[in-house]
Amino acid sequence: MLIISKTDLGAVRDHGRRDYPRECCGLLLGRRSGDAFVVERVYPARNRSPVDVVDRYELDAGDRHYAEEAARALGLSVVGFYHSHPDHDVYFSETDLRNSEEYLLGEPWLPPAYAYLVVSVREGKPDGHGAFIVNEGRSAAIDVKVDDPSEGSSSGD
Amino acid sequence: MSVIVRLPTPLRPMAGGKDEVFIDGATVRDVIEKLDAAHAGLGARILDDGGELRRFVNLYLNEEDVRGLDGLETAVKTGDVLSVIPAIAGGR
Repeated sequence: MLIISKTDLGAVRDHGRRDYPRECCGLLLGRRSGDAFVVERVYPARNRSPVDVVDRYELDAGDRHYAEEAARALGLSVVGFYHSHPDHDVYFSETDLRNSEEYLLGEPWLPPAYAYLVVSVREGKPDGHGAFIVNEGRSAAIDVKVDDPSEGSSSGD
Repeated sequence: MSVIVRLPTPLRPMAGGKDEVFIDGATVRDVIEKLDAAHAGLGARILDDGGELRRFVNLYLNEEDVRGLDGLETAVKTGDVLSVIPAIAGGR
């Protein structure tokens, strides 16, 4: 399960809207609690894919490094990444899988290291969202629980 | 000269679960080779079969990408932090 506040999910959705029609990307900082990925900060990163490419993202390595250091300073760690799918559904593509950090490092068979949050942006407006892990070499959807302190409870989807 | 090597999450199981390890070395390449000697298999995750930095792996020495320095031959000194930073990507 991915647990994220309504505020942080809103920041991811806003990033997807701002960067539309290109894909946005960023990092999820937080902690692990059992099998859960608990997000406590989101960190927008630059997409280094060519500007005319709207169906790819390459997360800026410098931003990734800076986020790692920021997480460390906060006593957190990088627990995942996010990106948007402009005018497409929420899913974890074969491209996403083959370019996941677990695959790039040749370790897709180990226990899931990260959660990957995907937000759909339709005609410039944020739409649905979903989260995935790389498990035993394949992607798998996980539940997302959105914490909304103003409601005093959580909602799952 | 002891350098702190910081590892991304997927590589930590290969270093006994540690997020950072202390490795002696005179250059970045030296550190990676000694890292592999201390934790078998880690070197192959960072360097390719030709001994060069894998395309999708970045190494930051403190705040600098070593590709912008002297690459794997960049000299290191005690207290330096060498961070292994994969370049993740994706697309629909």
